[in-house]
Amino acid sequence: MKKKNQTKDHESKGLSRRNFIGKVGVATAAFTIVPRNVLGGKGYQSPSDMINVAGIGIGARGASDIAGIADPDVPIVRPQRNNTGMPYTPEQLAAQQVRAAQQAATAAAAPAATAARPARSSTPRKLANIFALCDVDTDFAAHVFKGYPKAKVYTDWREMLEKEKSIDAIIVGTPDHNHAMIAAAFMRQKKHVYVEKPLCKTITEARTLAALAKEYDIVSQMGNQGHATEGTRQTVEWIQSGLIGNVREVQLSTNRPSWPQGNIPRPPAMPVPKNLNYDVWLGPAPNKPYNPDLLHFNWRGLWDYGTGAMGDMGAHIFDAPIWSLNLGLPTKIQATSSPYSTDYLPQASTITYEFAARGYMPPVTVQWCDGGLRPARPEQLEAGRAVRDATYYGDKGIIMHASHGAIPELVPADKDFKGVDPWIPRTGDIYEDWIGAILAGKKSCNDFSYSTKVVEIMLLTNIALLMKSSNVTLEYDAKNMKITNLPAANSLFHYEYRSGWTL
Amino acid sequence: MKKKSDSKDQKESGLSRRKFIAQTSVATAAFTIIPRNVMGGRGYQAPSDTVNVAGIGVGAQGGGDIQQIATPDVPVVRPARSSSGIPLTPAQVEAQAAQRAARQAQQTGAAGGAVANANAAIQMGAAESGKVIKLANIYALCDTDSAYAGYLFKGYPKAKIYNDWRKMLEKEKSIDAVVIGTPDHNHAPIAAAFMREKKHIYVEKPMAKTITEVRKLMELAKQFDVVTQMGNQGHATEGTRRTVEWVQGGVIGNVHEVHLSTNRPSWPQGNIVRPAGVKPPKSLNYDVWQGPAPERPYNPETTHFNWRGLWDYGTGAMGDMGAHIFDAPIWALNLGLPTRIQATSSPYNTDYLPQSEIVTYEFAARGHMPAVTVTWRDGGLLPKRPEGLEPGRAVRDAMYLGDKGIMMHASHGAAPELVPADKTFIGPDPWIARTGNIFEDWIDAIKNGKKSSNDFSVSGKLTEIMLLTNIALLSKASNITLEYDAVNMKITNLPAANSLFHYTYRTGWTL
Repeated sequence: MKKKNQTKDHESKGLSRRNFIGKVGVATAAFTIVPRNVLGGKGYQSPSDMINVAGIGIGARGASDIAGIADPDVPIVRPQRNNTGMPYTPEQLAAQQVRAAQQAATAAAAPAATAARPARSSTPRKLANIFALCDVDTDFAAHVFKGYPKAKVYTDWREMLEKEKSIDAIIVGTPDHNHAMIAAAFMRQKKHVYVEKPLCKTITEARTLAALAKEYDIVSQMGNQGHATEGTRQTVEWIQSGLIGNVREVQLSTNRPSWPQGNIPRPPAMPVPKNLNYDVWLGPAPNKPYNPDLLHFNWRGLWDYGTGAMGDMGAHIFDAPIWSLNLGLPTKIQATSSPYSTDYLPQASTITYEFAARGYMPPVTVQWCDGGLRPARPEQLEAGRAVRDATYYGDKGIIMHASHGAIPELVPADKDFKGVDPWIPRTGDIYEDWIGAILAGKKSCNDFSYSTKVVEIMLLTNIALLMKSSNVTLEYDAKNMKITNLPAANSLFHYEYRSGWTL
Repeated sequence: MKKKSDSKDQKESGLSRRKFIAQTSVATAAFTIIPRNVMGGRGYQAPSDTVNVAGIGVGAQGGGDIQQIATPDVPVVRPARSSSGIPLTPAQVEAQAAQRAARQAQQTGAAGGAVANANAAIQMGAAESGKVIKLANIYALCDTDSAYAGYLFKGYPKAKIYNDWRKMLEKEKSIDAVVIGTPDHNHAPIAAAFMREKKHIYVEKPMAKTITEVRKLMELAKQFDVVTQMGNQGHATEGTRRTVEWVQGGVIGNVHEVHLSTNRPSWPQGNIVRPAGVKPPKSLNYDVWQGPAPERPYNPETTHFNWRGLWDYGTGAMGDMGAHIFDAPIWALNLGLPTRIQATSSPYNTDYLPQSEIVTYEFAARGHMPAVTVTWRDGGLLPKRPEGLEPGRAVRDAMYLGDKGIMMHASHGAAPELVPADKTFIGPDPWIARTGNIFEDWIDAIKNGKKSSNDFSVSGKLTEIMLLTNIALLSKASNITLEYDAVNMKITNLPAANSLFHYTYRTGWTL
């Protein structure tokens, strides 16, 4: 990777602008447009210009993030595509419609299961200026480029970093393996960063990002929408107010992966299409041949690029338990799974974490299962009620909630239960929170100092999975980032980047 | 299916022959060849002919079974084939050997070695150990695929050859007993038809594909008073017997929790696409292969081995390994049928079973033994390692958590061991009779007119426990822990589940 220092001037200008924003901004600054002529003087930057945000990796998830910052100037219609980024065949489209109808039916039958995603309000949004958009695939991202005709367009983030000095903040929505390197490079230029979960692919990357965010004093945020939901906040309030007593056991589960994983062969090499900058897509990953089945969505299932079901859903499901139980890093971890290969993660896994006592809270065992596996139904759960993605076993009761902390509920149900008086501030969603924090010069709610812990817990899973045949319950010395009872595991905290790319 | 009664004469002769064998044989009869001329008279059957055994479905496991009944007259070499029955290329054979070696190398420690050896011994069987076996006479061989089973036919040149068991049943009145090694879906109709003609039955595990079939087979075995055996080699291993003796000897105290696991399926399962139909080869009688299963197009990927993963023909990982792993806990803990069952799994579809599953069974208290929860995991999932298990020691296929200790054993009850290890431990004095393997046991029971060790009255329960898994799997979206009324064979809290105890056979085929 090409590293280029900005001029000192630019650095000091960036700093003063941020300082300025920090001094004048308040939490509501994001919604206030101050006319350019109201303010002036040295280091002056008109808030009406707003923050300049650049998006990197914006063909899929990143496009939603960009829309979370500012509505497109021209309405966007995302083309119907399959997991490999190819437009649907008529048969696939028909199948898609059947699935959508099934999902609608499921949603009608069981609102809790599908109400998980916080729906964004339909009010117009302009938290910041979409200054530039970067994607390695000009075809895949074309619909987003068209939505923001004023944005400068790049296919290589390194070039954008070098040329566009006016960028204040970036949103990284690339596949997992590119997150850390891009975020690190921009943080070193004092750009604020919003990175999609799971923040990064290795624990070394997570710790580096946390250190850089501190060192360069920028506002960071991991794209974990569930951290700002009503349900997550209620869960924290319920648990911390002692509603279910001491919690010693938590069961987490997801039906992901919904993409190929398991002991399956890697698809054969194919020529790289002209619209794709495959070298930049590969980034630090090993140099392996292109196939459309690796890109755009299915990369999640490959060790080279993704982090599996945990990487996709861990942040959404594990976040509320970590927050509500004030979990630190685990002391022990153990994984078991269906077969995986050197290319693909397993189709199903079960993971056991042990966490030490925290203050008055006793030690807790957290079990994760994915691939559609669910924990055993609690005795008290009424027939017909589904086990939700997270179940907390307290010595005075049981709570469950769906992904993103959605719809916490008691087991057994208690119709008289009115909830707990709210004490956690109800701020906006994580985009409002992030931009608000930048403007106010404060920490975001899901700052790297917090979210790297969530990510480290998630990523330990894959170390445990790769060590599953050792027949050892891994003992983790979090302080020194070491598996103390299996030296071989310690090579798995990072990997060797492809030549030319650095963290 | 054509049903045909033997003439009265035939029936009598069969009966008297059985009685004769029962009266004259002793436990060692299986190894003793009495010259034909020593005996004679009415109802006479020369013991040198011994029992006439017919094999049905002999291309794979069934061929192994036949070789354990009688060493081939001409040495047989089973061609290396893929799981779809296609002969392997030399490169594939080499790769397979390398994989096997790698697997063996992975087995670590003394216990691992013991497990590997035990498994090897079980799998290899006496047939490959050089011992000449002649428990019975291989009278006829039947397989729907003459190419696939061709290697075995050559080993027994005197055996009559069929590709339709119905024809064999009709024509060959001298058959005394059959060994059934077909895919699961054909087990019950074949066994039922032969039992009705008073033939003794050896059926590979799982005994049947549905619980209704299991109960029917148990009933017929009783009604026609034949000697039955399910092909569950582990029932006669030293390890299984030791396990029963340890558990019932109170070595680990009261057992409240058992964890079972297997790395199967090693064949395709999950939310995958059924391969497109192709023309069946001339060597295959596909109609008979399909038997009671729904009429579906042929593809080599759904026959010969991979049928295990399809709802139409197989019973998944539990059907393959359940008998080997669940048998010892059932015996040792004297388990009845479960009261509750719950399943969770990775995705499945209307064609294939899931790739991984976790099934939880609850069994009521039995006499002095408390209620016990048994959790089954497959697809490579394992239970949590117990605290006391030393680093480096693998969790074995069956793990018993008692209030005074923990024990584990591998598949087939192999190599029981304590957790943590205790080198001074010897175990209770053996009290279970050490009889021969299940083939010796079965033939011996036929000759002596007694029950075999793994008679349908024993193995029917085991199979029913196994098959409940698939009812629970198919009911998993109900969000209900199934409550089972075993006496009435009913899921009491989910009426829809009760349609899953059987299925409609294809026209022309009956149980």
